[in-house]
Amino acid sequence: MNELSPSTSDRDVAAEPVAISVENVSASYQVRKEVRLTTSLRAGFRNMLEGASSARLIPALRGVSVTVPKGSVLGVLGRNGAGKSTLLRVIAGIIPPAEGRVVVRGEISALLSAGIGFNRQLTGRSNIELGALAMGFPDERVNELTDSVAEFAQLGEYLDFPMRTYSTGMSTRLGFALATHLDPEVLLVDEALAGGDSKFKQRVAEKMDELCSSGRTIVVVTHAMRQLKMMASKCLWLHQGKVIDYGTPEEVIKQYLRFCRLEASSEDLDEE
Amino acid sequence: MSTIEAGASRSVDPAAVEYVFEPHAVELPPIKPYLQELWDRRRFVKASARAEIQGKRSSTIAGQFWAVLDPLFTAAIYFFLIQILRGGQGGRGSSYQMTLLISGIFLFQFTRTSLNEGARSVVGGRGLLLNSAFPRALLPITSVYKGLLELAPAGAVYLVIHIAFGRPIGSGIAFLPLLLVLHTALNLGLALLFAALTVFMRDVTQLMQYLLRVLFFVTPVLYPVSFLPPAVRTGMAFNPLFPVFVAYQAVIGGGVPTNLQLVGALFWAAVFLVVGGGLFLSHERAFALHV
Repeated sequence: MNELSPSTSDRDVAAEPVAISVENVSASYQVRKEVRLTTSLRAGFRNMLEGASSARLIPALRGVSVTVPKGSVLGVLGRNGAGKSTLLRVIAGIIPPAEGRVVVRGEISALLSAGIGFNRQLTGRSNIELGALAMGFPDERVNELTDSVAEFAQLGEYLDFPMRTYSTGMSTRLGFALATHLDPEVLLVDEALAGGDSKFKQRVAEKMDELCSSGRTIVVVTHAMRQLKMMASKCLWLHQGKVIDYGTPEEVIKQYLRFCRLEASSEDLDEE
Repeated sequence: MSTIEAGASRSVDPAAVEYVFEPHAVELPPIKPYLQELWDRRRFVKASARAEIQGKRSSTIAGQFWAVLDPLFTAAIYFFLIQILRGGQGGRGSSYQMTLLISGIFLFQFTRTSLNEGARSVVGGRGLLLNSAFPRALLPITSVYKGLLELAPAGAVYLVIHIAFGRPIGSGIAFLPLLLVLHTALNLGLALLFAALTVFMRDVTQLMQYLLRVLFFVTPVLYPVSFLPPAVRTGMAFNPLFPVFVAYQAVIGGGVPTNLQLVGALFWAAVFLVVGGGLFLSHERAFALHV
């Protein structure tokens, strides 16, 4: 297990045009303690003052560097809270880095953990339209896009129903279909491969293959190791916001699983 | 190759776009490209406002008829309220006051929607904010546009009432588009200001209902401006809604707005667009860290 800066160590990459360059990026979130409600006036004032002074900066990424060549797939591994989703958000330009710099060449489409910002009171059709329009998708192609997304996600007549009536699987299918049909140069996918039934997983795998073979650059966060081994060109392992390992999927997954087993057994020892 | 600093935009050739994301500094983004991005996404504003209005009424039986029923019922309630307060006595001036009151309520509703929904727009748009990079000003702009969309059927209802009461339509009607533009600009400035403040201080949404209530009573909505003593009228110079609402009253009464009213409306719209827009745009990159 070696800590390194992938952008400088990966020689294979140097010859390829670079689609994403993450240079020594750190990012933090500001969190604040929730003000507890109380019936006591004194405790109320104390809680209010505590709440106001409780703002903390939580570091989510610490000095992360990685380079993703055009047309390749980068898999990102790590436990919960490792900074995987934050890395995707920094690459997408949603969260500004606290330090460092990110350069992305090509249009970006992000499918992050909460879907594409769906408003569950609105219909699937409205959500597709709004998601596409917010991303700057050309007006004249929105209807065509809606049809192909609805077809891929197999929504049928539910397309014109409010999304609050959708099952989790339907929302996942719609999110994946929308992100991949926006025709992005750079696709960022967070945990979307895990959702849906086996038939849909097959369609997802086919779509990802199609995107890979058409030269799209993909960064995917997933715990589905088998899929990662099949599709990723390189893997990045993050832990507590830092890069722990970077390399071929086989090497990194092996190291990561060994780490997980070690951690699990040390937890068992602690319990004993 | 075009380079976009800290934003998300689209050029004709997607492969030629380069995004550079660097640490956030409290500063205005380049205004021209920002406005261009907003313009490129104008259909988002229309589609989002329409979808929200439709979504709100989709489970009702009357559906889209509520767009007309809402202002109609509001007008009817105030009509009966005035009748009761006057003890059923009409009088010569009553139709004038009735039209002022109904138009004032409809126009104030536009400000109420813009401020209420505008203040919540960024915090309420958390899902979209955390998943897509787009100029954040689209969210409060959508709230103001929604208010404008709701004003249109109310305007049609009002026109029928205006004619039914036999009120004159004077040459001041020519100023109506200008007044609507100034009113919209003022609402937008206020919506941008309160949307940005709400991100950093959620208490603003709680305070908003009181602020709107105060504005409702200190603005000539329920009464003609002539009811106010001159000293109070001078004090009203500090109410940003005052000039535009007084100008509306002049037009509704068949007259023409004064230059002072128009300049006052322009002044407040410009002040809030600059202050609200400046605060919003200079802080919008940090919004995703705080929602």
